[in-house]
Amino acid sequence: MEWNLKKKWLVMKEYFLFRKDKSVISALVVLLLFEIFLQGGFYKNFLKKNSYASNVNRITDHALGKQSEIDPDILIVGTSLAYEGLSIQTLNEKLKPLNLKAQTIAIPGAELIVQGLALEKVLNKFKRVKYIIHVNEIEMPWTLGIVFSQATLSMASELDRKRAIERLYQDEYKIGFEELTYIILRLWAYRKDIGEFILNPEKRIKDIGKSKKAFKENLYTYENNYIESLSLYKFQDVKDCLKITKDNTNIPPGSNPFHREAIFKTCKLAEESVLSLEENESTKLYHRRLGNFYKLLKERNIKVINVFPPISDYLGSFQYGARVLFWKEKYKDVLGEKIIDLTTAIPKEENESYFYDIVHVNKKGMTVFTEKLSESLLLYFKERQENNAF
Amino acid sequence: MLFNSLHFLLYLPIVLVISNYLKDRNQKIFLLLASFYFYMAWNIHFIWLLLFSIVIDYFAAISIARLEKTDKKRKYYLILSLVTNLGFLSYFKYTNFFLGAVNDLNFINSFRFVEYNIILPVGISFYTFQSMSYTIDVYRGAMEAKKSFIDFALYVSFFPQLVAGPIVRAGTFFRDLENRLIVNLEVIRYSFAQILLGFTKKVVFADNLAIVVDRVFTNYSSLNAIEIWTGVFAFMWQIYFDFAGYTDIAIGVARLFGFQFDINFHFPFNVTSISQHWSRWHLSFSTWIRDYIFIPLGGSKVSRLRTHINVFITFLFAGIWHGAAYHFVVWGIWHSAMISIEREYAQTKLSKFLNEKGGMVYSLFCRIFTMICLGIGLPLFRAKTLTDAFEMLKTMLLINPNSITSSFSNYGYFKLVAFLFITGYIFEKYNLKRMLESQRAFTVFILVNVFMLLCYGVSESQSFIYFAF
Repeated sequence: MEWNLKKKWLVMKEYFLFRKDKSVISALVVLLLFEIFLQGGFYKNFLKKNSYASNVNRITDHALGKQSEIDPDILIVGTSLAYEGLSIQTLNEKLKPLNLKAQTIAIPGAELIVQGLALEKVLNKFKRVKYIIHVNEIEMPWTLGIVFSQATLSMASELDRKRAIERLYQDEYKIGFEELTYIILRLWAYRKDIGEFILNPEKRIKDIGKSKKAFKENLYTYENNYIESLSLYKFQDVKDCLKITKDNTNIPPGSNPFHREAIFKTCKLAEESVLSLEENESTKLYHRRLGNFYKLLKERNIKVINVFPPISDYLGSFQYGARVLFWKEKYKDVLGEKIIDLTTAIPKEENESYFYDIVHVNKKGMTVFTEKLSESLLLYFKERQENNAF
Repeated sequence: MLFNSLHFLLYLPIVLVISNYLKDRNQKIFLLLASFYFYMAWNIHFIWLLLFSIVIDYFAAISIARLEKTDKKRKYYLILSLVTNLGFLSYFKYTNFFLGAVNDLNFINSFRFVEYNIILPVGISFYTFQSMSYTIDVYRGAMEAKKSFIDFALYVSFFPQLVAGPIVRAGTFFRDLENRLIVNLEVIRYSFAQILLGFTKKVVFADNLAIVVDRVFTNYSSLNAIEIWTGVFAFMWQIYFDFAGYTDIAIGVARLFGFQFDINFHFPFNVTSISQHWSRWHLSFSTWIRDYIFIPLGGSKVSRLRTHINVFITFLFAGIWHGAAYHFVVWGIWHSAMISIEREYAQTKLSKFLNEKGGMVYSLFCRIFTMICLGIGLPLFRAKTLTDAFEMLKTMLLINPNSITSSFSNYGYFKLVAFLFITGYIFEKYNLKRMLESQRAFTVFILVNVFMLLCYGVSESQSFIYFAF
């Protein structure tokens, strides 16, 4: 029997020899060394500017890097609605009388899991944080999926990867071999980015210089400076929007192709999102994920303030009023002790002049959103200070 | 089963290991079953069609071989084989085309045939040709009929060449089946390199070029001449990388089982004439139509006019083989016209003079002119309808008013196509065998391919173009 087995292995002898072929071994060693180099985090600086992976690093690292100047009491967490919608500079000026400081780690496109992992990254350093302002995307419970989006995968793998895998199972994501490979192997995760880098290395190197300069010069990660508004495009509803913004032929003065494209994309998203208002598996899953997210904060005795951001009139059909009620009713056991509803904060009159596209505010909208939030926060914090509950 | 699928990446090592442990007849039976499984992974029902074709051709060839050469029954058995194979091919591939053609001719007033929902069995154009060539060769006395049914069935259905060729001749296959190449380290290295290169050609080059090709062929009406020419040349390279990539994988995989299939492509765009192009493009098909259509018609050993007719019939057949649509027919006619004009031109004093004295400049002119001629044929090959193809050609030949006026938006693809032509010329003399002689070169080759697959591979890779033929 033993002899037979040996003989059989000899049949495959040449394949085993190939496995030991010098060229194959050398290639594998080079790949391994390159993977080790990438695991060391040396490539992070070279990631494509404004990619999901780059953004998550830039925003969290900027906040941590500026700790000596802003050691925050309040952290803002959320997606692009918070990133574009709030001016941290203005907010800090407003909060100065109370001797409070705010910082943001809101990341465009970040699902709850990414927001949570980003929070874990910074909370280990930010010991003063007592409040989290969580800017919620109200329609999110109805749009949830168990499958990873590429953006989430990309961002989660930039944060604590061991925790990311734990949290993914905790948040009931469907994880396969490819997702795990993406999170564990840097060569796999960065493959497309490296491909672009090879084709255009000059731009990347210039971008590194620019981002280092921006870090030195700016106290805050980002400030919305977009003055373009929806009012430049005269459309009645989402369908009309899609017609007018479908290509670059009807760009009005004051707008540009990027602005046009942003409006088109958000209108397209609005058109494709046929959302129910019912409680379903998706809303229940969001409830559990929200609970997981806030669990960490409760353990650290950090209070959560939920903020519902302003929405444009074009999203009226999404029944935001009813959705806010749903949140307040169905998620009350997990939501923070304070809810600030600013969905109608933007004036009805010339509503579209406050928005860059049908989802995000422009500079003018940001000013209003920040001021309204500051007013609510001031009232709330004063009340708490008076009650010695701060 | 697609070569560029996870399913195949698991299937191949399993089949390779098991077949290595088996010998002789058991090994052949196992490879046959593995090949049937490979085919059934696409569609379980069409295996019966393949089996039927195998049984008929086996029976026909055995019967032909048993009879005296003067016996007329031999012809009947050959006809049985041809009718069966061409009958299946005609039904599955051409029924709707013929019904549509009858409708277009409007023979019967207001009567229209309805189109049938017929699924084209993958690989049917390849395995029927392979099987037919065997019975024809037996009929001609060019080869002996195989007594072993297993051997013949394996010849028709051997998985590396089953669904998209190369169309392997029976003589080549049985030579290797009886006297298998010893799969030593050198063979494994070569096969590995060829398979890796095949994947790079398909997943990196063909699938990325598909993006620009699809854009151009979908939006041709709003594009100008340069954009369409760019898309057309991109398609030229896409189809080459797609099919040559598939063939590289097929040949490399077959070699791991000890079979040495002939090359199917040899830098087909580095040519100075259309006939030279056909001597380097899809060789297993071009030699098939030469040996089984052009030569039996009399080839070029007949009058000039008759030769042109033979060329016409051969390329008309080539066009129809590629697909059941008018634009493929016109593509075939276009190639036959080019070959005929080329033959006539070759007889002229001017041609002889320029061949002798033209030097580099004439060679370069010939290469560019050949590419333009091939390019003109490609909208006929790729467009959805003949009308679309003609509209594209009008813009390409500056007949349409918007040929020049509409703005050219992307020079990047133009540069890419130019790069492909230049590298095509540079690498012509650089083959895998030379590269494998140096350990360092082989290491670099592996790394470059792996990095290209990682960084530029299209993850949602498309099916191979020739699966549709």
